[in-house]
Amino acid sequence: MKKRSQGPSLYFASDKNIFDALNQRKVDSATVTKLFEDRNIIVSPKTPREELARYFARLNHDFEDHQSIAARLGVAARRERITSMEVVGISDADALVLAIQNIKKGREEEGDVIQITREGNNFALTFQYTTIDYGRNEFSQVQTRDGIVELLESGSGYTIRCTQNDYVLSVRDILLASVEKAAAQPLTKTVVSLFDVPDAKLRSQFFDRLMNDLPDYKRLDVIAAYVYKPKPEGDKNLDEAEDNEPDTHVEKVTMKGVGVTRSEVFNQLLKDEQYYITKVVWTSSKVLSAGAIYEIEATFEDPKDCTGFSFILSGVFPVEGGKPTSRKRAPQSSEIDEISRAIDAHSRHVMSVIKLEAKK
Amino acid sequence: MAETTNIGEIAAKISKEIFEHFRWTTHPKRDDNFACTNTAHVSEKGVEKNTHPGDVVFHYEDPYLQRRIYLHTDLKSYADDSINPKRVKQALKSLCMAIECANQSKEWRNKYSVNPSDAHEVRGLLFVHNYTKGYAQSFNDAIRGVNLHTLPVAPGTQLHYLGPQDIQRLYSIGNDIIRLSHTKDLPNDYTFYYPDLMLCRRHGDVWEQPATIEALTGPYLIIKHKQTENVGPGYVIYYNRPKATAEGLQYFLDSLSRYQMLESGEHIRIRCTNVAALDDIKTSLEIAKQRYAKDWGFDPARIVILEQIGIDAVTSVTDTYNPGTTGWRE
Repeated sequence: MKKRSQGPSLYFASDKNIFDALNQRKVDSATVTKLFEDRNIIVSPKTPREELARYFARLNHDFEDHQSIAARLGVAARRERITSMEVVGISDADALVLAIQNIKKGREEEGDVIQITREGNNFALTFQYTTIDYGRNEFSQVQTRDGIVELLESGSGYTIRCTQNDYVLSVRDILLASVEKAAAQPLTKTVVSLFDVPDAKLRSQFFDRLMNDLPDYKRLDVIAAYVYKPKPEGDKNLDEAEDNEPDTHVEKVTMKGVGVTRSEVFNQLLKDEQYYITKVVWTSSKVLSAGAIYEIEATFEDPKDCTGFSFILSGVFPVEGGKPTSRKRAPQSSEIDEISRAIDAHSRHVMSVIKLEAKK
Repeated sequence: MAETTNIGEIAAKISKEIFEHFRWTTHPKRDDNFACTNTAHVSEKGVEKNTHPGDVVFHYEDPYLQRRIYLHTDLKSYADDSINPKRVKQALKSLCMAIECANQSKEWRNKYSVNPSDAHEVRGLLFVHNYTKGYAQSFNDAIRGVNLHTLPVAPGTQLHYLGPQDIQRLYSIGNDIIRLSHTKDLPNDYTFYYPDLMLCRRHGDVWEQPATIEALTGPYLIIKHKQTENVGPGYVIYYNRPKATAEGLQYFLDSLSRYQMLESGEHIRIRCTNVAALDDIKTSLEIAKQRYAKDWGFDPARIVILEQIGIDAVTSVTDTYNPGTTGWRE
C-alpha cells in the first residue's frame, strides 16, 4: 500500500490553501511582505506575487500567520443574535449557583473555560468556544466565538438571555436541566413562538406591533422585510395527477429598501397572497433622548413554525451636532442591554396578546 | 591584515558555535571582495562600485528546492548608541547590490567553489551582533524604522537578517542540542524535518537535512531523530513564539498531525526558546490537548499520543552570546 503523504488534520491550512489565499486580490502586497518580514526575509517588490505565494506556502506556518491571512480575507466572526427565555420556578439563587458550578466543572473537563460573574442575584456565564464548519474555506472553517448566557432576575422568575446558536443553547439547556433536577416542581419556561398561531395575518401583526409599539421607542423606518408562505402540503400529488406542468411556489420573498412595509408589493403579498412576515430590520429612536438611531433585526429561525425567536441590535447611528449621522457604528454593551430588555419584555407581551386574539 | 584575521576568527567561531548544529557548511574563504559587474551599483556618495565585500559564505542544500543555497553574509556589530535605521539600511542596500552581482558572477562562483553542474542560488544574510548588552531591542527598532520596500532588492533575489535576539536564540538552541546529545537524549545523527507538501516535493534523504534559514526564523523548528539510550525515536520541536494561546497550540497540534508526527511510538518533545514563558505555554498546551482530543471525538488512541507530548524550556543560556568584541565592522 502506498504511504499517504499527509496525516489527518481538522483545521490546518495546507500549502495549497495558503498559496490560493495569498493569490487572492483581497490579500494586498503589504500583507504578503509582512508575512515574510516576520521571518526576517526581505523579498523584492518586483518578484511576481505567485512566486511569493508559492514560497510562503512552503514554509512552516502557525496560527498567528493563519489569522493574519484570514483577517485579510475578511473572515471575521459575526455578532450573533440574542434569544431569551422566561423561566418561573427557580427557588433561589443558591439553586442556580449549584447548577452553574456543575456546568462549569463539566465544560472544563472538556477543555472549555467558563467565567462566572455574579451581580446580586444576576449571573453571567461567559465562555469561548470553537465552531468548525467544513463547508467554508480553510481560513474560516474554525471560528472562535464568545458565548454568553445571562440569568437576570425578573418579577416572576428569571430571564435567561443568550446568543442564538446551538452550542450556547445547549449550555443553557444543560444548566436548566440541572436546576430542574434539583427543584421540587418542574420549571415553567416561556419562549417567544407563534407555533400555535397559524393565521398569516396575526403572524405578521406580531412584527408590526413589535416594531411600532415598542415602549419608549419610536419606529422610524422598516428597511427590510422577509415574508414567507409555506408550500401547501399534499399539493404535490394532486398536481402530478392532474398535469405534468412543473409546480411553482415562491416560498420566501425578501424586500429591502426604504418604507418597505408601506410599499405596494409588500402589502399585496400580505393581503392577497397570504404571505406573512418572518423577519424584519427596522430603525427606531428613543422617544425621550438625543435621537440616536438604532438598527434592530428580529426573526424567527424557523419561518414555517415561527419558532426560535431572536433579535440583534445590529448598529447605531450616533448623534453628532444635534443630528444622527449616516455612519453606522457597532453598539455598546449598555445599548445592547437596554434594547434587549425592551424587546424581551415587549415580544412576550405581543405574543400573549396575539395568542389571545387567535383564540377568539 | 589584522582585521582580516579577526573577521575570519569571528566567522569560524559563529560557524562552530551556531551554524554547525544546523548542518550548515562554511566556505573557508573569508573576508574577500569580488568584482562588481553592474554599472548601476553606486556607493552612498554616488561613486560607481568596483567591488562588493563578503565576510563569509554559508551554504546548504534546500530540501524542497533541489538546489544549494549560498548565504553571502555580512557580519556587523554595533554598539547600543550607534544602531539606527540609517546604518541598517546602508548595510542592507550594500547586500542587495552584492547578491545581485553574485548571482551573475563567474568570479563569485569560482571563489566560493560552486560546482558548475549544481543548481544554486545566492542570497544575502545580514548578521548583526551586539557588543553592548541589553541592546537587542535597538536592532528591532532600527529594522522597523527601515522602509524595506525601498531597498533595491533585484527581482527574484532575497535577503535574510539575524539580529541579536535571533542570534541569542539560535545559540541557545545549538547549546540545547549539545546538552541533549551529551545526556543521550538526542543522537548525533539527528536531522531537521520537512513534511511532504501538496505543491512541492521534498527531495533527497530524510536524514542529515539542514535547518534552512527560513526554518530558523519560523515559528517552530523540527528535529527528527532515531532511538537513543534514553529516548525512543521521535521529534524535538523548538517553539520560537514568545507566547502561545490554547487556540494557537490547538492549531499547532493539528499541524503536527498533518505532518504525520502524531503517530504511535513517536516521542514528541516541545522545547520553548522563551524560558520565561514556559509556565504560561505549558498551561495553554494542556487546554489545547483537551480541546484537540475533544475535536477528535475523544478518540482513545489520539488521547494517548497527545498525553505523551512533553514540554520544557531550552536550557537557559543566560549571558548574551558574545563571539568576541574586536575585529567587527560597524
